[in-house]
Amino acid sequence: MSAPATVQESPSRAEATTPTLRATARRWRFWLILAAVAVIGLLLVTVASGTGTGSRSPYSITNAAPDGSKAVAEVLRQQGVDVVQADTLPQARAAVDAAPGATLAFADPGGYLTDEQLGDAAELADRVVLFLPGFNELRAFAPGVAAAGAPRDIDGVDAGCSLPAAERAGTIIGGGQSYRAAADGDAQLCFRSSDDAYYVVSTETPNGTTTVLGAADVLSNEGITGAGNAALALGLLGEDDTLVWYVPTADDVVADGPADVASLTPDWVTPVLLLAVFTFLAAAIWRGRRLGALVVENLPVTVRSRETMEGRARLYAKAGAHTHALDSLRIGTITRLSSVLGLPRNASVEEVASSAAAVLPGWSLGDIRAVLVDAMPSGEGDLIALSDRLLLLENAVTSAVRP
Amino acid sequence: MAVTGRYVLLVALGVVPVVILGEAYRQAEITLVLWLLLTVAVGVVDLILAASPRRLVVERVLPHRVRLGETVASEVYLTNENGRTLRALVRDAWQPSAGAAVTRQSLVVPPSERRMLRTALTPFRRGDRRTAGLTVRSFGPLGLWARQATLSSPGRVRVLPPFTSRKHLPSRLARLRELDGATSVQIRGQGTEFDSLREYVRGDDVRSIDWRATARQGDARAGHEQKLMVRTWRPERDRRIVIVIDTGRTQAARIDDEPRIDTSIEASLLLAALATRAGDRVDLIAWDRRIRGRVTGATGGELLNRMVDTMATVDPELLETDWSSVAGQVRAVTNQRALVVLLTTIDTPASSSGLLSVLPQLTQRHTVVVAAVSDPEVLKAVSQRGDRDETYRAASAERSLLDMERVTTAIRRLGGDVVTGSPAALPPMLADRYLALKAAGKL
Repeated sequence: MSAPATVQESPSRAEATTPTLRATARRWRFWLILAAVAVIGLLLVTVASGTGTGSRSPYSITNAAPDGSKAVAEVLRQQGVDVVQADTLPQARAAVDAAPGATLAFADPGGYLTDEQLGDAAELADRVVLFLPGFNELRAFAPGVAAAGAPRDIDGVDAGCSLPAAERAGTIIGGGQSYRAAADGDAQLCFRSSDDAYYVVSTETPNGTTTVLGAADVLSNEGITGAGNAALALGLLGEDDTLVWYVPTADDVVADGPADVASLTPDWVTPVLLLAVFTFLAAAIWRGRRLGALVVENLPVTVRSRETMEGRARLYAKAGAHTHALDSLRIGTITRLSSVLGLPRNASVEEVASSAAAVLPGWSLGDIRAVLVDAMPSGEGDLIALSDRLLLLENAVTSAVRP
Repeated sequence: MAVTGRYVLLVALGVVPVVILGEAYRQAEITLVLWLLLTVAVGVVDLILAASPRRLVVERVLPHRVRLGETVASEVYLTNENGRTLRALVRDAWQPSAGAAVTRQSLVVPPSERRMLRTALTPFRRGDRRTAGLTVRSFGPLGLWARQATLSSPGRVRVLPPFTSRKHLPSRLARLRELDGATSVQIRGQGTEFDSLREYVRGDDVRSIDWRATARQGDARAGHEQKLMVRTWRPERDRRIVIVIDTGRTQAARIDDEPRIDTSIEASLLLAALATRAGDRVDLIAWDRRIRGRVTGATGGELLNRMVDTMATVDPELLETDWSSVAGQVRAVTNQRALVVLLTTIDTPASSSGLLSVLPQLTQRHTVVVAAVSDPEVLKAVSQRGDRDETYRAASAERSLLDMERVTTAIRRLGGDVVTGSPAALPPMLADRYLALKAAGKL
């Protein structure tokens, strides 16, 4: 039956069901092209809008957003001013040292510098332009000037002073901060906003000339085109050949805690950790790549035939149906006894009991009747005792009839 | 594409240059990047140098059929049509129940040469066991990266019912020969039919002398010697036997770790083997709500062949068997009087009502035997009454036996005959019942 009849296939190259790289690429071509178009489009939009690079902080000359100052810097560069960006105090110092006589444009909206650092910054250059300084900056750079709050009316303010840049600008518009000078000082006060508050205050300090510029819109990309704003900005910042534009960043903050982990560990620790990640990835690919697809097999249902019997037994036990259970046991015993005793199938219980009593001298008829019919179990103990006696009776009859 | 453990090791080895160069020249990051690029480059080169797993010729040599429990060898010949040596890990994707001893093997095939993969299959389930194809992972010479492809190469082995009950066949055949009488019987009676006329020899029963034939045979007046002729008889032959195997849901139940349907198949095979030797014609129907398998008009060795082939792929369905159409199916097989053997389940009166309702139609024309597997565990449970749970279980077992007894009585009352036995006992019991019926001339 299992004779080795064999299947011999004609020798031709087997067809591969795994798609080739080319086929996979062709299949996904539409989505690949779509993804490429999306990526290229995104890049183009980013480059075109110019928002992809550059700082996000105000007064930054790389920030092309409305509150940045890229426009001022670019115009200054076109006018031949060398605008140098400095992000930290050492950078600013190096830039000023490289071009003595440079103007320093300074703003610290983030408040990164300590008083000591502010003092150092104030000594950097002879000409300093402060953008919307706070209390700490004023104390370091221009002790004679104080903040006078944010004015309500800020539209079209005339210069009203003899500062050349302000005179050329004529009128400025926009919001910002106003400042007032100490009464005894010889500060030049321009663009009056209220009684003794001005948008521009130029004062002589031991370090040189410090100009406080309180009109924010003069510098921002958004507001520089209004009235004489541009003229004022160019006038104030473009006086020297070099402008050092110093806006402190987080790098200026001096760490004062204990030395961090990075400075204590060798340089190769991070690369080794990265290498461990790559090793893990390679191992995942090594172990995860399956050797072909899973094989599917329909398995037949498995049903244990005794389940109904076991289920019914548990049901009896749970319901405490000892009378019912004993009935089943008795009927089974009576059926077997009647066949052992050679009685007809329709023999009554009395007949079975009397026939059994006839072959069993040790058992009285009453006993047998009690076991087979009469005794009513009052609990599970009775059930077990009666079931044992049923077995005993059955064995006794069987051994008596068929010794 | 796949990578190997060796490649993972190579990547991990990058820790040496990264630490050394990082310590000496503070160039750890660059070293890491360069090392990764190097491993990828070496891997790509390795991949390019690997033999293509697609340029292979696959020939499969497989036995068509195997009995359940036997072991066969599946042979696959791989011819390398690449210009390079193929170093590969090959997986033959057999279904789990095909019982493949090893599923993946390493192999080296030089260019234009052929190598064989041998897999021992020991299926542990009846039916068609299949393999979809070969998956070949071809490694490069450095063993870093590998190319992988699945080659379509379908294979199939039909796993036949084991027919373990054939061990009972010789003794039953001996009984059959006794019946048949190598010396043909001379007593006319039920279950015998006319065989031949032959000359009387001393010892023959004088009652079997056929006087008419004697008179025809010779004429004493013509000088011929007068010969006495006797009639001989032989057991009836060319009876019809229709075996109906129920493939409904009750046949899925396992008894002694064997589904009822397997026992039914065993019993039907033994009966068919015996009956076809006895000269009877056996037809088989596997039925639940439609015909799952059917063998008609085959005799001798072909009958068993076709029966195992047909029943190999039949599994119980989760359906209630439609007994009402069984009579029609039997009528479609034969119009003659036949022995109809119903291999099914006798459980409770409720679940057997379909069977009981169709029996009168069958017993009217045919001799009907209902054969069912009984659970020896139930019989054992009856006499185990150690504690409370066992007592309740014994009561429940008694109830099951009582139900079966009621169904059996009902079947007998409707004119059918019942054979029940444990999975091991049922096939010989059914064969014995067949022999008894044959001896009694009730076929």
